[in-house]
Amino acid sequence: MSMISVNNLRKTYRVHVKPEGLKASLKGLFRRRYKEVRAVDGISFEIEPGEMVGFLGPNGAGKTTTLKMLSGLIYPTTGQVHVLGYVPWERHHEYRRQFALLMGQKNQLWWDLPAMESFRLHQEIYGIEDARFRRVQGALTELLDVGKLLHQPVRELSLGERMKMELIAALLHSPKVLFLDEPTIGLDVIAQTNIRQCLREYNRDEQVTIVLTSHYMQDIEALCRRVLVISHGQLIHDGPLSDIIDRFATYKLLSLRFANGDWPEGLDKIGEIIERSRPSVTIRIPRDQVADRTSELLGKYAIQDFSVEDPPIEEVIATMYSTATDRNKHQRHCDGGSECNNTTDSESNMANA
Amino acid sequence: MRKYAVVFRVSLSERMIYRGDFFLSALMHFIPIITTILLWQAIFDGADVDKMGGLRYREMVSYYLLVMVSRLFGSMPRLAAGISTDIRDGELRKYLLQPIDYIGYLFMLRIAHKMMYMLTSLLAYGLVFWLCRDFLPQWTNPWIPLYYITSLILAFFLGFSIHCVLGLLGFWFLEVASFLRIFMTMHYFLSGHMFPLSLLPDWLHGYVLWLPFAYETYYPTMIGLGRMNTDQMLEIVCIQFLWATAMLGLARWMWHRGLRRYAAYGG
Amino acid sequence: MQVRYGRILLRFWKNSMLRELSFRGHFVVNIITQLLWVAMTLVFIKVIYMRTSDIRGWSEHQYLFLLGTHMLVTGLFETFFFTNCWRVSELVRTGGMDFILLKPANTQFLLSLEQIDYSAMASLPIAVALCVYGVVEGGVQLTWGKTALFAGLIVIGVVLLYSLVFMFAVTSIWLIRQTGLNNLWFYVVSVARYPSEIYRSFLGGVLWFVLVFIVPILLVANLPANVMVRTFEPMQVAYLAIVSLIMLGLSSVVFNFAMKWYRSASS
Repeated sequence: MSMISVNNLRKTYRVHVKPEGLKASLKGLFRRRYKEVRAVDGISFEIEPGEMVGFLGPNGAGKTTTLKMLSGLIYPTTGQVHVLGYVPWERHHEYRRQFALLMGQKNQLWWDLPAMESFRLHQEIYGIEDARFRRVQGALTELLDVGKLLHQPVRELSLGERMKMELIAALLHSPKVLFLDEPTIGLDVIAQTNIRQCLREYNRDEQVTIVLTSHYMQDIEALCRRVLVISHGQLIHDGPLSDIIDRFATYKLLSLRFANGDWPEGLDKIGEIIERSRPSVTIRIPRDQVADRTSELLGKYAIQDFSVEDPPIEEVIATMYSTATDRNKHQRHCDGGSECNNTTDSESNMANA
Repeated sequence: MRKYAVVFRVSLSERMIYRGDFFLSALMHFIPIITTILLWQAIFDGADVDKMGGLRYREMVSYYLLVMVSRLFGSMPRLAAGISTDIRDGELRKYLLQPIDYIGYLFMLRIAHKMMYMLTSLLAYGLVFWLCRDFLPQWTNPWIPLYYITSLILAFFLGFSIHCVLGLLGFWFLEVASFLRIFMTMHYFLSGHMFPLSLLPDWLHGYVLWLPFAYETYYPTMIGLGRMNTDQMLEIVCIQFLWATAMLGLARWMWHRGLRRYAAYGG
Repeated sequence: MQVRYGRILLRFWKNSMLRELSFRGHFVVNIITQLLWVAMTLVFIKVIYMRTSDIRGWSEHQYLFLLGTHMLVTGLFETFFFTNCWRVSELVRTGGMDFILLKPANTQFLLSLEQIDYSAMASLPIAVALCVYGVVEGGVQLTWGKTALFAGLIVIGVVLLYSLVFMFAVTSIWLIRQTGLNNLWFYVVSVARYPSEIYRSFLGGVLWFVLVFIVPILLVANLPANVMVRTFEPMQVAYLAIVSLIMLGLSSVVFNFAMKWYRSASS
């Protein structure tokens, strides 16, 4: 049985549109304008035990909303979710005991106290017996190398150190499923690598299922064999990261170094020239023409060295988001303008709301 | 002057976005006053005298109602605390970079807030005063309205400058907030907000009236009650003006001294 | 199960204490403010009782005892619950509520008891001193039964206040503003401070009826004080106990409803 199964999950919510200017805000006293936002728009997937899956997508794509539904913090509009056999938003104590959610932009540790005091509180709330608490906490402290910082008030820690403490707090009760929302946001490169490494080791040693969202491609590249890409609330890719390149990269990059130290004329007829640094040149070539073009060049010129590479993943992803956006727009147009993202005037009297 | 006008307009519309409950919350402000008035009714009912501190029951009621008006002008919620946190958190630097005078900026902001507040609570005050119309004083002296309004405006200036001074203490002390709490507690008593200062025994009475706080609440209220003759009213207004100017001068002086300190310590 | 919640509670109190120790100033400031407040009130009471011998049947010593009781109930509420109620809207705004919802324990329990404001305890010894003074100077005969009933009523009063204020705090899930809560608490405190009899003459006793029978905040201080230094009315005691329990249940219903809304509306 899969650890997490999500079936056609949707979440729609209303936001209040704040008017600008004096006159408009006076009007806003009497009636408010709302916008319907489809944060998550019908996504389905399954995750197996021990998997480490990355959630990728631009800001506001619905990643955090999905994680919050998986954690049972919010109700979906429609759709089914099962995690560890539980429906998350029913919030069984048993379910809440078995997973953890870490949010990179929020902290749950007591700000003015040493992290250890917050850990002790978690011990009581999760009912962890002393011996196990000491063992788990000791192991995590060692893994993240923060033994010296345990007794320092959290407010005096650096962002990276604080995130490590948050991670320990989230893992103290040995969750079977771990949701990480932007765990490395705002951290410096060293702290990022550090946290990444710890997550990888933890996943390997404890066989926990991890779902993680991140802005940083390196997080996903380093940690996740499987990637879910969300754009405008829809799942547009589910599979290994490398598949994204196969599916969405329409070209490859061909780097050439010429033997006589100079390039011949007419290279721009072969493909768009991306970079020139004598005696090398990089040319962008459509994927299906790579074989032909390469043999053509090798036959024609004296080439000392050459390589064919995929474009950088960030670029491919960016292309993918924009194609998804175009497709979305196109669809909506064809539907004859479904009401998604349309501003609707609700005349509701919000005196009590 | 234009930029101050913009500050004024922006904060005005900002306040309008918070909608709805102005009327109710303004009405709620009268709750403590009503309970105090009811207490006084009980006191007068049980007492053998018909005047306390020179005021009859009817005057006592309108004293508390008019205190509300004085406080409407003189109270400065969050002004001093705002200044001291601006200083402590280094927010001040933001204002120093702009070609705008910090105290002048706060002043315009405060006027905007005050006007907005008065406008929105007009209905509530009107209602309460209409309900209590029988208790309100009859002004026989034609000079009263002029002096009353002048003294209310001066109460605003005085309140503003006193709170600036308190806030600017933030240049020298970290914990202005705690000090403010103590100050506000004493102010409630010393300004005549808690009860008319004329009730105090003579020996205490003299000291309290020498402080500036009585000029924020007690004296304007007594003018509104019609308890002062023309000479006394003129004297009160003059002293109010002197106190306000002195406090504003003190605030300016503290501002300049403080800034020098601020620069020296690098904020 | 109960043991576990007890252990969580102890941890909450321990962590709050550790934090309080790093802000020792608060305690001192609260002591000073409370002492000042009591001193001012004593002056007020002296000023009044110089001119009358009773207020609606309350002698000076009985009034002082009422004042002490009031400080005791409100002080206990502020110590255990006020900060927690106040934090609700902040937790909604910052998303900290999510962390509480994630925990495998009763959400209302975690939300209502996490913080303890030790500095608010400053008023408790002063309150007890006032009560003792009132009892001793008033020549009241103490019995164990009376004292136990008094203590029980104090607890019941705190439960009632918690239920009411918490329900109000929970509405911040819709309004996301907390200024209302400070005001509400201020009004509750200022209404409950006086002898309940003073409200009887107002609006034909409607307000008195509401504040005694519907939202019985007037009983919170008046009833224990009555039991101790005036007359014992068993019906009122039973009534307050029942209403407090009902309100406690209601607070849980309102809270669950609000949480349901919060979890449907947020993204």
